Amino acid sequence: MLPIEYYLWFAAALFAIGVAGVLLRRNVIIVFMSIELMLNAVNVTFIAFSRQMNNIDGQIFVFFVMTLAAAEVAVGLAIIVAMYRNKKSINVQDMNLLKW
Amino acid sequence: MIGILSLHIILPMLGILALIFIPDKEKSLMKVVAIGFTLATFVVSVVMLAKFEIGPSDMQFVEYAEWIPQWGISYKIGVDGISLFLILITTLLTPLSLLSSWNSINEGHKGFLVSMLALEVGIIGVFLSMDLFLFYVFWEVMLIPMYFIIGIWGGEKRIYAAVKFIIYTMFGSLLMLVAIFWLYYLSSEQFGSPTTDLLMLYKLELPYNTQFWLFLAFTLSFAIKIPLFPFHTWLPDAHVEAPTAGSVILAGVLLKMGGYGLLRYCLPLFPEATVRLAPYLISLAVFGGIIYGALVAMVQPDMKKLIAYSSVSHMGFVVLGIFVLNQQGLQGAVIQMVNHGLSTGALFLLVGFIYERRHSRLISEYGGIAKIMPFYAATFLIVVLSSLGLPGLNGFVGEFLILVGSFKYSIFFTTFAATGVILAAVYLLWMYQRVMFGKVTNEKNSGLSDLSLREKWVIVPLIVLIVFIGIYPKPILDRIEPSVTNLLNVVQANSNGEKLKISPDVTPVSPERN
Amino acid sequence: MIDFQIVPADFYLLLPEMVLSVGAMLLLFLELFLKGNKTVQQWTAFAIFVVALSLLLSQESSGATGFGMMVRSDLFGQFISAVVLIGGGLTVLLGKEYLVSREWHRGEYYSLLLFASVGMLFMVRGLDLLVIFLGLELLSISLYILVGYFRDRLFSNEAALKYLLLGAFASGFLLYGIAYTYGSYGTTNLNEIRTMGSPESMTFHWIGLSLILVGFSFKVALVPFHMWLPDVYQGAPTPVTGFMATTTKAAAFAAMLRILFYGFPADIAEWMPLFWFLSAVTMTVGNVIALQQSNLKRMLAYSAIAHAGYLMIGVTVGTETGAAGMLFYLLGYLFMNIGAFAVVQYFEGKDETRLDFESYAGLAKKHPLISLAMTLFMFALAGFPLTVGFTGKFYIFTTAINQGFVWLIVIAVLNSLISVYYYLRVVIYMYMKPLEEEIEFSPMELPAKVALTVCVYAVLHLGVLPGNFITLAREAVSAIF
Repeated sequence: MLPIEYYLWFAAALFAIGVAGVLLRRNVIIVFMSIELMLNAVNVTFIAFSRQMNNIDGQIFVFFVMTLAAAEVAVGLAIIVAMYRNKKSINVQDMNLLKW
Repeated sequence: MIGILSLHIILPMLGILALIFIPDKEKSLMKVVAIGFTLATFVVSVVMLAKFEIGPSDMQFVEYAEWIPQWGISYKIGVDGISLFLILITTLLTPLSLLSSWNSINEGHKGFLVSMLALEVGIIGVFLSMDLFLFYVFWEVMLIPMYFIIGIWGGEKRIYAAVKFIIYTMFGSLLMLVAIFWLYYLSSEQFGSPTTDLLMLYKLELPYNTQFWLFLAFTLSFAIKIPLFPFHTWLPDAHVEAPTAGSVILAGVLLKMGGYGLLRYCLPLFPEATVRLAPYLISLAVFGGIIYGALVAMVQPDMKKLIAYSSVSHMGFVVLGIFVLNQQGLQGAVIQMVNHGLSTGALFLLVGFIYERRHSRLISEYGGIAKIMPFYAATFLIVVLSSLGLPGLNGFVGEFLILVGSFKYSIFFTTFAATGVILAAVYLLWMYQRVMFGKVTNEKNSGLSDLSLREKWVIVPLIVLIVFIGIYPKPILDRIEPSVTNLLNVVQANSNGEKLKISPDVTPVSPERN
Repeated sequence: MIDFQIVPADFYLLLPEMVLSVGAMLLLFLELFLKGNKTVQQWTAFAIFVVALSLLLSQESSGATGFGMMVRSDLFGQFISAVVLIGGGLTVLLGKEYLVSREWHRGEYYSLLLFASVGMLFMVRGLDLLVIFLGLELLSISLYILVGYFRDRLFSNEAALKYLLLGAFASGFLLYGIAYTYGSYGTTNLNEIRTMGSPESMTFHWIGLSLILVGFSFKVALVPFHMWLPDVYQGAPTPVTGFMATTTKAAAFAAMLRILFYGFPADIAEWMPLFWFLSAVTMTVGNVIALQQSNLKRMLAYSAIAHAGYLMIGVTVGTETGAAGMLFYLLGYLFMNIGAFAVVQYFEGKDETRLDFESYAGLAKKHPLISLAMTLFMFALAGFPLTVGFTGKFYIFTTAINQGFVWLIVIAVLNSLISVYYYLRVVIYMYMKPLEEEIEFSPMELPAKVALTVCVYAVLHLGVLPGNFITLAREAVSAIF
């Protein structure tokens, strides 16, 4: 069995890619996908810990996270669609109505 | 059972309540009600004066009720010789200023009268409080009606003046609040449970280092209120923009809260810091207050501004009197506050009268008024003479006592302070001459009517008091003395070896002295 | 793992949440049959909040746990849950008028408010990181929809999208933190973490806790994690903004307190310098930027950031009284802020054009009572005595001084001074400037009047006679120490 650090580093890399995506990409859909990537990195972490400690809690947590991610996507895409209808753009930089 | 002191707070509040239920159209009724309630308050305070015992130095008529026991905060009020006359002058000036503004407020009568009554509650509360929390509440609450009075019923630059007023005062009082928190914490440390009861806090034992910072925070707040250079710049603006009634209360009573605060809080709470820092405050009072205020007053073209700067100068005397830390100085400071309230209040009323007629406060607009309005000119003269400290009128008593006290402390400072008296004569008489004497140069002035009956009713009581105190100040001094002596003893006993600087030819202050 | 059986008592524990959830679904159903009868919908929603609140208050608060220590019924949870439910009830009362005038009145509004409240109740009553997280997400998702409620308006869309992206982003951090906490303790239950005391892996513990804190910093909008808040507050429908600004803040701070103080009591002292810094920076940045705002909603948004900074003082202090001060402040903040937003929503007009200071010029003459209420709220937010703004600050600040944080308090009071300036600008415009244009506002409806009166009364009552509530807050906090 691989030592747990491998999984953790892998998850951390995924999480970092996700964070970078959120901060750097301009297309809302891709930003959204990056957030999903972050959540999945968390899932990998949970499962790794769960296996290592032989404790089922973490895996249950993962199910909740997946469900939640799905709910978030449903709401998120709906908002993006509403936005697109009004603005004809899904570029983050075009969201400039609200600022000081 | 509501005590006589609580009545001072409750009566104006009842007045506010009554005003709220009077329909907006009934303007005269509203004025009558407001003046009625303030007069009733004045009557109550006169009763209090009659019942006030001469001799005991501690608080009288003390009332106590639990307020927020979880925090050790109580509703505790009392009065002693220091606050007695400040309360009286508040209750006297409020109805007079309301009466003076009978015709000058054009819109929002109800709001104005409510604000004035709320102001009275706040000011009296400050003078009565014997609990630091209660004191702070009144101190801050009083700002709000004053802010509205300047900001709504003021002159052209009223908003600027109102904001400046509130920001300046809040700056000081918020730092004082930190100091209050600190005292509150120390009280819980030394007594086991926190308290804001002033008499308990007097017993705190504070190291000098702590005292230094706390003293600084409190004094800053009071110095802004007094106001001392360099924190005085809000005052001329506030005065010029405020309506007459606001100016009267502002100069007559509000500034005294600063002096009162020094006496009630700074001296007994932080005696060691007081003694050690007194020289700095004295030099600030003499040069930043007395001399600076007088010099600036001399060049003002606007009467209200001139009187405002003269307040800076006269309040400098109060601070000087307080920090020379001897019997005469302190007594002089207290009576000077009362006198200044009377004479400056009267000055603002008089300027207000002529402003109502001509809508100008510029000295250059006038000239030869004495011929057109002889009664007005006569009263104005008495008030001006009182303000510059002519013997036989009230202003002399305070300034003389302060100078005597100051002489025992330092000849150097006394010399400069005495110059202030001369300068006061210069700027006040010069103004009087330019306004009253000479030919009537301005056409518009020729048709002015002399004071109306209502205006006479406003000014005559003040003139009577000005003369009475000038001739026979003993009843007032008798009531002030025990409290002042006691205060000095407290300061001396707790100043931790820092000797009060009392020159050898004066008998040291002792409790047995009458 | 804990072996447990579900007993009826567990359900009794969750009665308020169940009432709210069932009520939310009921309202969705009612929408089918009652389309058009807005008053019934409104009062049904209000009744559900009232029933939930009374059930909550009638519960024993002895610290009983249910569902295998997933939730805990204690006075702490009860206190904040009550804040949430009162806030929800007030928002229901305020919402109808606003939505009807914009032709956006739907039953979903009430359901979503109810769901959001369920989420918050789980957040503050949960004893397991899983439950707290689920509550948070339920709250967040409901709020995403509420913020984007006017789906044909770009403002609303944009606010919702920003909220969603940053909210989900923050959830990612929080979740990652929970994962590492799980890795270091082998459980996500706060009770077990507490009894365990020291973690198996200190590194994981540190990573976990710091990520959880980052997540919560986003949620309560501490600088530098505050960027989303002004945009979201400005773009959301105003009643929703009021709801978010108060209840969500209360719930998020409560969850943070529960996790930190109950789960990781040993770490508070070590984190103190960071909290100190966050608190000072947050209040300063919030106040300074609020100073430059011309839009009232945005000004209140930045002031909300500043208030988060004041509240953080309570966390910095790290004592029982500090936390009690926070609870008391959160209770007072509820009324001050919902009241302020209620006035803003009344004056803002149908197309959100009347939100700048200029449109408040001279309003006091035509609307004396509402202007007076607004003045009270502004003075309260600025921390003047005789309002809850002062007693709340007094409580938190004295506690901090007791622990020796003098400089932090000096910063805090100077910040209050800055805030006086911009809060009083509203008063200046209302009272001291002439009326610019004659605009007729339709008279306020009864429910909104009731809500406003409640806010005014509570601000004054908590400001003048706070005694009982101080005791209550103290007792509540002892549950998590």
